[in-house]
Amino acid sequence: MEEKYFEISAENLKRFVDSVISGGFEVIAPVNKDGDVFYGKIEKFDDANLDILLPKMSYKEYLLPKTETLFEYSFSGMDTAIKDGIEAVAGENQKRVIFGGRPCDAAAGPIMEKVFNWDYKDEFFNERFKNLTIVSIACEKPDNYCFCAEMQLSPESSYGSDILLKKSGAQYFAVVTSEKGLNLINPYINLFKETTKAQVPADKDWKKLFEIEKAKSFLDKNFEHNYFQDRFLSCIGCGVCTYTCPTCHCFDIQDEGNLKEGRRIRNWDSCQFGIFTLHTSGHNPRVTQGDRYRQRLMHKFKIYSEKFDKYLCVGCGRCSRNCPEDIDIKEIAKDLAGMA
Amino acid sequence: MENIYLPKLAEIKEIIQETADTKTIRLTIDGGSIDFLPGQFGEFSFIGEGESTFGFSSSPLRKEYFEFSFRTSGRATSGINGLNQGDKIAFRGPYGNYFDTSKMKGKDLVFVGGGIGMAPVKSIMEYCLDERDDYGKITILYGARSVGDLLYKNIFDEWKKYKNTDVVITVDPGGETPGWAGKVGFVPTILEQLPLKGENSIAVVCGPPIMIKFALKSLEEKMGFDKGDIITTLENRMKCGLGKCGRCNVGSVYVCKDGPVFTAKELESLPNDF
Amino acid sequence: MANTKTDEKLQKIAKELLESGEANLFIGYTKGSNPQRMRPVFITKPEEAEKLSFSRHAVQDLAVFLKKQEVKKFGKIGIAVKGCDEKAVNTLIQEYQISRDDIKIIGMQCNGVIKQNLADKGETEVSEYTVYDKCLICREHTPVLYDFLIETEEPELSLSGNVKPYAEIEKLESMSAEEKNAFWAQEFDKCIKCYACRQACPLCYCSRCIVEKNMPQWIDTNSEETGNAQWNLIRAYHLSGRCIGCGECERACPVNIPLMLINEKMAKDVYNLFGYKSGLDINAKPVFGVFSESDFNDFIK
Repeated sequence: MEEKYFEISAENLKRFVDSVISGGFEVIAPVNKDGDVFYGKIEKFDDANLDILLPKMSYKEYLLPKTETLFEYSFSGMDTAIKDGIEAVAGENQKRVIFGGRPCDAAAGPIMEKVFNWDYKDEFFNERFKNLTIVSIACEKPDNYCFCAEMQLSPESSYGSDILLKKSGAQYFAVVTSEKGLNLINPYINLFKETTKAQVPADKDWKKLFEIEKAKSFLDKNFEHNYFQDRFLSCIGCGVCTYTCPTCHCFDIQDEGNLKEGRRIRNWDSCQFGIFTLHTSGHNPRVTQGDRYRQRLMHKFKIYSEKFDKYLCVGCGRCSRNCPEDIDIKEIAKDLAGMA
Repeated sequence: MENIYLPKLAEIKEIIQETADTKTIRLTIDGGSIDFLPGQFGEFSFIGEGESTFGFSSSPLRKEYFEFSFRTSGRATSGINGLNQGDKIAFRGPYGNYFDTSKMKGKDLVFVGGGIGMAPVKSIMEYCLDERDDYGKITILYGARSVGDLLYKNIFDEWKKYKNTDVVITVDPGGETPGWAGKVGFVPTILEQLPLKGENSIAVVCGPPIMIKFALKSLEEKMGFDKGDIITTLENRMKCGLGKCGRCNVGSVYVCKDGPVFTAKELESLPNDF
Repeated sequence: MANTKTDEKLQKIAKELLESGEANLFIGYTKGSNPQRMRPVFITKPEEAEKLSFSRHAVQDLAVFLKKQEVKKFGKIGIAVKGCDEKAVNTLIQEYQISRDDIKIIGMQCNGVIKQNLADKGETEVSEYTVYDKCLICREHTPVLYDFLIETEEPELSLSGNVKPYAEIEKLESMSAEEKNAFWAQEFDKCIKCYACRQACPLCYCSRCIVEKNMPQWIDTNSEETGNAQWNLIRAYHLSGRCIGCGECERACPVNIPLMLINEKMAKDVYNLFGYKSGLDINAKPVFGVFSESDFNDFIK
């Protein structure tokens, strides 16, 4: 779809969001919780905290739940009955709006979508993604952990957003990029005033601290480099980087139940765990935490990009902010680029 | 809407107790085999105990069944181990790439297997034996730690019946029984004693990493095999088999999609992450 | 920022230990990714000792690294620890995970560290409102065991009593069983099973954690009601009578589960029932490793 542009006052934006909620959408937005800000369901616009940069966790769980039932099973005599889990997800057809997230989080959706569809199609992901409408707000002040510009996005990127809001004085400009976005505003179109691209403030020239292509070219040639073992001696393998990451999507498949019935589920998993690659024979290709963090860097900056022509990182900086041992991925990517 | 994680149920036609802790299970779906190619693998499970990844060990040309061999070592394999003839096994697949038989046609073939690593070798080897006239001389070298650890003992003689086919069975030193008629020695050592040459030949090698390492060395350095003519399989830990779950990455390769079959030349270009 | 006197003392000691070979590796703090953050640093060369620093932002419990295989292979290790963290070193010695002979303890006297989420917002002042609850109840501002002590330049923490540390524990104690269940069900619902609590804990050193054992499957793998509750309960049980209260599990938790409420309640109960406090004496027998005739036994009915 060709992008459409609208103006909307702050007051009307509130009316719009409240109307979307009363119109039956579940709206997820940054909310104050437990002394921090997390994404959570809002009942009204005022529940949302739009003053912060980013919630502590991403909203990945709305695309890839932390536990998802792939199918249910039951035994009766010699027979096994299987109930397909996709039916529940498809039947749910829950229309959700993510409101007030940032361009980095929005970019994570289409980036993950490639993995879930490059060959076999994962309809669990697709169903959830299809029902998600993303209304993001462009960042005005990224912090020192942000590096979306380096990751070929920007604090004002509309990639992955159905609607990108850009604040300008007391009002917002809305860049509508998709049918989904248009469908969301259409019932309330009187709150919006259509305008032209020329009226929307141009994106700023966001400075880059390093070239990610250089970091990649270092990774291409230096798998065995000492840097990884030395630098990640301070990594405790807690996996917080992967669990709070909007694009980390690795999962485990497990069966759970009793002698009568149960289910096969997939759970979030992490390349930072020793058991992740442990073979039955006892052999483990990744023995040290250096090996494991290297894999995370490889997957983000090399492996994914070679298959899908983008990077598996949106530069949100959550892994750095949340790392208990202060491992800063931006600093590391800059190191890698510098060593290339 | 297709659920790619949903298994089919296959019936156990036959169970062969190969060694104290390994079995071969022959399965049928609707009374016959499924379409697969040698080298491919599947996700097998006794539902409730979780899935395990195994390569097919039968020739796809044998249409009455498809089979896999496994060692009981964890929860999922213990579940499968407890099943009987007539029981159901949940199955997803076939997945992954396969041995390129078009490149093997008309050439001399060497099949080298170690321990339970013989399973995927058996699939391609029996496929070639099933169309024996398409290939030159076939040499089969199979070894295990001890006589008790050899799988497929009951069909060694069957392999020997094919024309122009040498079958060499060996056990590691100390693993022989009184009266053992086969060889005694590590697989790479015995390999070097065989009258093989690299020209117009293809070698398929599967087994423990240490055996592969030395067998590859022997084939390349002592017998003049080209790296592109030595084929092996990687046995990475997998979960989905579909190129999603991220577990089997080696460099930019998903072993479950781009593998598990690789030439020695391809392996050389991968980082040491397997 | 320039070196403080504390930094200089620390650097000198580390340098000498590395030069003399009394330590092959020195684990300490260095400046982090923002002025209000410190991070662990691993020094093997004497000339690199100048990277070492210490401040009110040194939140990490460096004892966690003593359980790491990559660190253990260095053999003799020097480590900078605050009083709270030092209790973890004691417990590791007490439980035969490390040998007292292989470790040089540099005790960092400390009057409280600033909560990281406040520090990240720019907080630089130490006060009863800005430090962790553990600092408010701390009795080991000077570590109980050390080879070298570095005295603090920080003013003593003044406590008005307005902030009640671990206040929720009393509330929880007054709740009915149903209310307690509801409280924890809500908290555990947030859990995403990342096991950061385990990894950040200096005393969670099992080479294969119970959640990684599946024959039988003790702990449900799901990250829903059953799996989350089982995990959080078993984690707490495995730490009861052992937890030294460094609070690293709670700090690492990306979804803010108040794990220290559980740990502190356990520690309180263990003290009340057995008169035992963990991490204070390397020669003491672990409380659940011994039986005494005076142990309470009225739970046997």
